[in-house]
Formats: sequence, C-alpha cells, structure tokens
Amino acid sequence: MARYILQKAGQMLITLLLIVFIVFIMFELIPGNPARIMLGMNASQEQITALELELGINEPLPLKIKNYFAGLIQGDLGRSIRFDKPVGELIGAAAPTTFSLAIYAFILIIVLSVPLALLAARKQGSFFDNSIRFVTETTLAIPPFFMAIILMLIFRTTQLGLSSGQGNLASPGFLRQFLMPALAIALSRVAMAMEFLRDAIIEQKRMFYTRAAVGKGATKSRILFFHIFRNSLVPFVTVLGLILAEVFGGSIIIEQVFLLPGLGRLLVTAVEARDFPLTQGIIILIAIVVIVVNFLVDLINQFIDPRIRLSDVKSEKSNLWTQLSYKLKFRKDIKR
Amino acid sequence: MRFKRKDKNNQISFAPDVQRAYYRASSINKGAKIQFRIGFVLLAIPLVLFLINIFYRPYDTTSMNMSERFVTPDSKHWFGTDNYGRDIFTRVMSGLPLTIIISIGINLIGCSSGLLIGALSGYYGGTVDYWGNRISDALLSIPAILMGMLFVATFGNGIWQVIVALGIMFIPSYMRVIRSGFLEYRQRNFVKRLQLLGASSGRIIWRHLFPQIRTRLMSAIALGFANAILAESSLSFLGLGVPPSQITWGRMLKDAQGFLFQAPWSAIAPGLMIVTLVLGSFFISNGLKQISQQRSLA
Amino acid sequence: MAKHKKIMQKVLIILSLVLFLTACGKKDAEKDTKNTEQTDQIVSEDDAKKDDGSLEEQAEPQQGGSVIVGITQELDSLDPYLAAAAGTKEVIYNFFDGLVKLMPDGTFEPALAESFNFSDDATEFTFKIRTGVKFHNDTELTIDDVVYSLQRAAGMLPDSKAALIPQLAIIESVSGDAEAGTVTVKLKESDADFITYMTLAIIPQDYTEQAQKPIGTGPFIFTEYKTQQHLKMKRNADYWRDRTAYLDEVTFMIVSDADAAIMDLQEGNFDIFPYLTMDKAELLKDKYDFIAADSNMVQIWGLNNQRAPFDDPVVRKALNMAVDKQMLIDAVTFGEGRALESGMAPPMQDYYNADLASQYNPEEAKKMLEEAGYQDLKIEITVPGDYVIHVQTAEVLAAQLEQIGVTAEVKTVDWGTWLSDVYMGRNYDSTVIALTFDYVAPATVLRHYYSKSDNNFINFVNTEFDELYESALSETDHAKRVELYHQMQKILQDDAASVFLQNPGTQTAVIKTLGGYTTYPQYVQDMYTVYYK
Repeated sequence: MARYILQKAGQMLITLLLIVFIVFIMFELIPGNPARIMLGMNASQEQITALELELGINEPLPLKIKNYFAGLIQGDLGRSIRFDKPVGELIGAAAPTTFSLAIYAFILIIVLSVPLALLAARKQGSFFDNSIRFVTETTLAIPPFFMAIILMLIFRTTQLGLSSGQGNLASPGFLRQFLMPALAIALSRVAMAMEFLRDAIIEQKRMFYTRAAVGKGATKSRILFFHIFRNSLVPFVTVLGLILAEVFGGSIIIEQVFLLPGLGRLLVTAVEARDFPLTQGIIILIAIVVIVVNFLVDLINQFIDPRIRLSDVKSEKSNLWTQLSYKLKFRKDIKR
Repeated sequence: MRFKRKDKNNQISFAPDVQRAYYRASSINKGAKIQFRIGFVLLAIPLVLFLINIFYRPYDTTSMNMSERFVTPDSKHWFGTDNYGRDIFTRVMSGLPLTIIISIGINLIGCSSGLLIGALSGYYGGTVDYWGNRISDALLSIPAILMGMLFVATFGNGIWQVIVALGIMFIPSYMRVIRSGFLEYRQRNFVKRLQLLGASSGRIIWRHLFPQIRTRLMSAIALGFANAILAESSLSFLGLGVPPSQITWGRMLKDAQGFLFQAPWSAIAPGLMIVTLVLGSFFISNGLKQISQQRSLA
Repeated sequence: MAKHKKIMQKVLIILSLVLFLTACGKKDAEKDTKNTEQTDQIVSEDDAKKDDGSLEEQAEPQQGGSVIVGITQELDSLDPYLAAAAGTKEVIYNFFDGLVKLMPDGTFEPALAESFNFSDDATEFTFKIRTGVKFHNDTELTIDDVVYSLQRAAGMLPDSKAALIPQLAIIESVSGDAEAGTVTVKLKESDADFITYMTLAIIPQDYTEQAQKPIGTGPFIFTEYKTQQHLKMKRNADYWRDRTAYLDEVTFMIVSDADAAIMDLQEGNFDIFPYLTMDKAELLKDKYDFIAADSNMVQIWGLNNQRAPFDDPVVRKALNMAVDKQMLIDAVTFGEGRALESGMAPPMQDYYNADLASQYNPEEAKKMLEEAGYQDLKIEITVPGDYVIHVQTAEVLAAQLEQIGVTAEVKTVDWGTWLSDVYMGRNYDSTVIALTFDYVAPATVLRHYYSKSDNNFINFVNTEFDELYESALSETDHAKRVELYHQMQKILQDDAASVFLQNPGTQTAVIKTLGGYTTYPQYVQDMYTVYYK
C-alpha cells in the first residue's frame, strides 16, 4: 500500500512538472505583452517599460523557470499581474464556487443515473430501455453551452444571486440557486454514467452466479442490489471518477453562461491578460484535482471489490479502458 | 507471471464465457443493424441539404440586407434571417462542408498521433509505455479551452488553428483506445508465435495487431467525429473558433448568441443541425462498438 | 415486424423533439415581431425625454436606498494612478475628487480647487485649494496632499521610474504655498489641454494601500471588493459639497458579458447597466429607461499606409468612397451612432469639424480602382476578436467591399495579440479599432496620426499635418486651436489617412424608479447624482 502510494505520488509529480513546462513554453510563444494589455492603447512607451521592469517580464526563460520553482517549493504561486494580488488568494476566492458546483453536479449525476440505469437494465432492448437511451444520447449530442442556454430560456433563471459570490455548499439557498448550472453540467454526463452502469448490470445478469442466486430462491430485489449492483459498481465508479475530474477542470463555459465567479472564468481572464503566474496556478490546481480523483477511484474500487489488488490496478484499468476509453476520454475534452 | 495475472483480471470483469458469447452473437447483430440504420438516416439529413445547396441556393450567403433583418421563419425564409438579413436556411446548408472538414482534420491529427504513441506504448510496454502515459495524463489535465486560447492567441483565429489545437487534445483519447487494444492482443499466442518466427515488430504491429482493433478504432473515430463537432462549437462559443468570414454551425451559434432573445430561431437552426449530425455519429459508433465487442468475444 | 415497430418508435421520439423545439422558437418569434413594431415609437419617446431634461429634475429626489450597477469588465488595480482599465476608472471615480471636475457639457468646474488661473503661454497653472475637505480616513486635505498627488502621478517622487499618468510627464515642478493655500504647477512646454488632466484624483499623502482600499475625498467610501464578484461602496456622510450623495450604498456587480446578464435585466435585478446596444433596449423597455450617451470612441478602419495597396492614396480614397457608413451603423450599432468623416468625434465639442461632407459613391470608387489598375483587389482586415462591435463592423465592411469588387478577408486575433502585432508591431494590412480619448483633449485622439508618435500605428505621414499638430499643442487661444484642429481633420479626410467610420452611441439602462443618472463626455459612472424618485 505504502509503496503504491509512493509510486502514484511519483507519477503525479512527473505529470505536474510536464504540465508546468507545457504552460511555460506556451507562454514563451504567445505574443502579447501583459504591460501593454494592462495599460491600453493610450499608454506611452516609458510607462510600459517601467511596468515591465516592475513585473520582471523580460527576464530570460531559465531565470523565470528557476524563480518560479523556487517560489513553488515554498508554496508561493507568485503574484497575479492582472489583479495585482497573490495568486493563492485569487484561487482561494474562486475555488469554492467551482468545487461546490462540481460536487452538486456530481450528486445530481448519481441521483439521476442510478435509477435510470436500473430501470433500463430491467429488460434489455425494451421500449423503455430504448427511449431512455435515446433521450440520454440526445442530451449528449447538444453542445453544452447550448444546453445551458436552453435551460435558462425554459426555466427563466436569473443568475445575479450566483455572481454575488455567496455560492458555496454552506450558504442558504445554494441548492435552488445552483440548480440550473449544476443541471447543465450534469445532464450530458448522466447519459454517460447511465450507459456504463446499464451495460455492467446487463453483463452481470448473465453471469452464472446470478443464475445460482435465482436457483437458490433469493428474491429479485435481493439479487439486484446485493449481487448484481454491487458487482457493477467497479466500472461505474471509474466512470464517475473521470466525470468528477472532468467537471472540476471543465466548467469554463458553464461559468461563463451563468456568470459564476469560479476558476474557469478566472482562467479565461488570466490568459487574455497574459497573466502567467495566475494561469499556471489554476492549471496546477486543476491538474492536482484530476490526478487525486483518479487515485481515489482506485482506492474505492479496491474497497468495493477486494479481488482487485492495488498493484494490479494498472492492468485492471487497462482492461476497463477497453470499454471506457472511447466513450469517456473523448468526451472529457469536449464538455469543457 | 504477467500471463497469470491477466487471466485473473479477465475473470473479474469480462470472463470469456461461452454461453454469454453465444447469447450475444445473435442479439448484437440485430442491435447493431438498427443502430446503423438510425445513424445513417440522421447523417443523411444534413448531407441531402448540402447536396441541394450545391445545385441550388435560395439566397446569397454573404450579401447583407438590412431591411430584412430578424425576419421570423416563414414561407420565404424557412429558418428566418439573422442580424444582417441573411437567410439562415441557406447559411445552414452551406455551413456543412467546413464543419465536417474541421471535424475530419481534428480526428486525422488525433488518430494518427494517437495510433503511433498508443501502438508503441501498448506493444513495447515498459519505459515507452510509462512516458506515453505521462504525456497523455498531462494533456488530459489541461483544459481543452486553455489549449484553444493559447493557440488562438499565438496564431490567430483560423481553420488550421482550430484543427491543430483540438487535434492535440484528441491524441490521448485515441492513444488510450489503441494502447488498450494492443495490450489485450499482444499477449495472445499468435503474437508469441509470430515473434518466434522472427517477424519484425513493425510487421506484427501493422499487419497482425492493427487489423484486430480496426473495428474498435472505427467506432472511436465515429465518436471522435461527433465530439469534434461539439468541441468546435464550444470553441466558437468562446470566440476561439473560425473567423467570421467562414461559415460553420458553431460560428453561426456564436453569432446568434447576442440576439438570442430577439431572434431565437437563428440559434435553433444550426443547433438542430449539430444535434442531428452528432446523434447520427453516436449511433454509428454504438453499432460499431457492438460489433467489435462481439468479435473480441468470438 | 418488431424491428419495424422499434424504428417507428424512435422516429416518433425524434419528431416530437423537433416539434417541441420549433414550438419553443415560434412563441418567441411572435413576441419579437410585436417588439419590433413598437421599437420606433420607443426611440422617439426617448428622444423627447432627452430633449426635455428638466422633466426628470422635477421628480423629488429621495435620500437613501441602494442600487446595483452591472459592469462587464474585471477590475484591475484600485489605485487611481495605476488603474489602467477604463472599466476600473469609471467605478473608482466615485471615491475621488480632482482639482477640477468635468461637467456633462464638457466644461470644467473648480472642485477641490476653489479657483485656478494660468499664464498666457499655458506653462504655469495656479490652483487655490479648498479648505475643510476631509479624506475618508478623517484626515484633512492639505496643500502637501495635493503636491504629493501631482508629483506621484507625474513620476517625480524619488522612487518612481516613470510618469504614472503619461500626460503629466510634461510637469517640470510642483510647488505648494501653505500660507496662500495655493499649488503652482510649472510645465516643461506649454500645453493648453493641461487643465483637462487636472480631474486627476487627489489622494492622501503617503497612504500606501490605495490598490487594496482606496481613499479619497469623493462622495462614496470604499467598503468591499471581491475579485470576479463585486465592489461595494457607501455614502460619504462628511462630503464637502453642499449635499452628500443620495444613495446609501452602491454595489458594482461584475458579470462576464451583457448577453449573459440579459435574463437578470429582464427580471429587473440590476438597477443600472451601461453600454447596452439599442436592440437590447427593445427587450427591456418595460422595466428600464434608456439613456443615450456619447461614447469616447472614434471607430476607424485603419489602413496601414506603408503597405501595398494602401500606400497609394487612390486606393485609400476609393475605399473611403466605398463604405456606406449609415448602413454600417444600422447594422452594427442599430442606428445609434454618428457617421464620421475624420478622426474627431462630436463629443469633442468645438474641436469636432462638422463641415466635412460624406464621400459615399461606390460607382466612382469602382471606377477609380479600375483606372488605377487595381483589379480583383484582395485585402485582409485584422480585428480584435474580443470586441464584437469591431468584428461585426469588419463583416459588414467585407460585404460592402464585395460590391466594388474588392475581396476582404476578416481575420480575428486575441486582444493581447492585436496590441503587440498590429498596434505595436504594425504588421498588418488593415484593422478595425476604436481610438479612445481619456480626457476631452483633442490631441489624445489625433496623436495617432502624428508621424513622430509611438501611437501612429497606421503609419500616416503628412508633414503639413505634423506642423499643424505641433503648433496646436502650444496654441493657447481657444478659437485658434479649434481652427487648427479643424484643419487637421480636413487633411485627414483629403489625404484619406484611413476610413473613419463612426462614433458609436451607447445606451445605459436605468430602472424606472431611479432618476438623476448623468452622462459625461468621458467614461464614468457618477453615482453622486443618482436618486430614487
């Protein structure tokens, strides 16, 4: 176990370093001078030079990387250029909104997909099964922002309460206020989660042990919940983990449509202003969440099905991937 | 050792169970056929519209007519007109080729690079696999929108920029599909035999392993095609898509966004087109997936 | 048989979905036609109200209440000298007073200075400072504070690297006379526009937290700022003018864009929302009054004068003749803009040369191009994609140019890229952009055509223009200055420096229960005058 965690932590560190480097290189390549962007068209050359000096923009790349990592080791993410505030403080202010929204959406996904999957899996290929699948596939085919807009138009929701920034799980009225954005995120993913659970249940139904249970005289609901459902959870949890990770990193558009003061909007502002420290900070946070969630999925899967050894997880996962990857990893990028 | 472990795993999730395979073979074929039919019907709708468009265009796609702006859908303008008085029906029809070209381009980049990295990772394993995974993890942890923004900031808005930025973000998903397929088959006895016979790695990969995962890959491509259309529209929504002089459905949705309350029809037409095309591709992908599952069981 | 049944079922589901969606669309469509029919009326009503300003004054201002103002830009530094974004300046305006105040009609009134006078050659300005004025932290305004403020803004403090406000770089010295209660500013060279810069916020000496918690003498006191969310301010009960502000509390809500906020506007959740377009007014007329305001923008289609084919004046002139500005204004700003013939806009008052005639004549333009040997001209228009108005303008231009056989490719780039590649690098064919003026100082706009300026991004070179520009800077006689600026505008038109498009108007939605919202020829959201009726 300890060795496994160590191994995982090593992988995580390498992935993070890669990400930091990718962002560094991208920021070297993109045109645009943060000082000029901040000061606008009417600024004089002297003003810009003075600000550049203050911000340390023109330092050579190796020095920049060195300085950044020196700060990072001490837990200092640097100072935002655009907002003139510490990056940690800005992320700290924006993260609760994104995290609350993601968790809310995640709960909605589970609450909606589990009963639907159970119903659909009752009889494969029935009218009920087909219509549920058709409707969920359709929600998948609607571009996410379009879905958000349709939801807004139908329910005539306003968002001022959201942007007032009182939005986190602890605040009163959160459930009602965040329902629309959470639903906009959840709806398309319900289809994914449902389909995997349904497929897994159908798979399990055909196993010999199910027949044995029937022969033993166990009741239908007992078979469903104690045998089939439990065994179907492994692929389902894996899917949920991927969805959760994706929701954390991918709420940019939903935040834009619903005026939410979250990480996604902050990221857009940061890139537009060529605010390197802020962009880097947000990306690191998102990456950590994605990686940690994946790690948790492994742990939970082992808990559900003790036959899975953690050291085997890699090969186990690759088998799951056979089924999951086309559905999921693809959609992952897109729903952002 | 490795061999043993794998057997155990197979037992956990997808035991090759004779009875199940028999049951499935009959039902899957039927299911796949229905999926294909619906898929092709849905894909045919925009395609027919485009073919009509080649021979007959009711209105010009670019010339503006201020006296006819925001006309509600009627017999003259089936889908109404937009904020410049251009006929939306005509624009929707002529928006198809670029939408599809972009989608194909994205998948071409994603699939070819994914194939290369995935095949090498899956076949050789070890260090190659380790670094392949780290790169794909890193790419997966970077939001696609960020990649789009950085690309557009560097190279400007354009068709190529959209294709390359999204193409890169599509690599990991293809890589995973192909890698897992190769992992599955490289342990099979026929590969061992080929290796003993002295066949080169390239030959084994290309002539023997690749055909095994072809259907699976096709299914992934059909899905990738649909997802690329969705991704392009998302990029366009944030103003990172193609420039305004080009017509794609994503671009049309973006333009309609500012007038959603005055002229909701200008968003509905391109929106419906996207849904039709994407849904069609989903169905075909599902059909292919069922066939590939059936094959790996047989 | 069963197979067919299943297909039928699926088809039915698709059909019902399609019907549902189209039905939704139709309902809205009907509503919309009704709206469009009434639009013309509404506009004329608005005009009537605008003309009769006294009507609004009659409503009795109520003391108290709070309002929510929607803004669409993230704030940057709250320090008045470091704030660069127009969106920040217009908000923090409420915390500060300047030595003079810009009035709605473009004139200047003494504010923290009781009076001021200046030497004939406009190199020495003397301000008599008001007494008994208190900062928000309860310290009294002194001569030293004023001297400190001016020195800090002009970059004259020991630790400063450059002028924080570039226009103030011409200050040579600032001296205070505590006994007489005056501050004297000496300039390196004469600048008749100098008084317009003296709207500069006066801040307390050696207070270092302006960026986090701004302190000034203004009618409102800063209370709270949360990034991406809101900025709150409360009434300054100790304000130095004869009355304090009417409102007790003002919240500036930061939203990502006006389109996203439209649902809240329809529900009346914002009290004031500036910079809307006319088409939004149709949707919101039930709950809001719309106040038209001049913008400080001169929208131009900038042609790179050093790049072929724009290095040929014939081409530039032909393009000028090809653009139907009124159609462009109808399409992009819904008729709420004024067509321009040169680089100055009507909000510049006297300096604006209104005598220049439109040159629209597409047939002649086509002929000119043909005669000069430009067949099948292909050009590129690079626009900053973040600004919808410029992108749309470029689209309309491209459609209009098609009429005279010119193919224009619209290319959008990110704003940061535009600034470095187009504006600084001058590496472009043509671009659509709005030149803005921070002060009602004509030189700030026309500087973009002065060949020795950093900001001459269209590479316009005209020695006559340069001479006029230089002499206008040192001219102190108002009438003569006006004449010089009128001549410069004439040159810009005659030489077809670029295609001058429009001075877009903006609409501010003000909820019907509010009154007193005032617009200025400069971007500010003045909450001092706003009250509940």
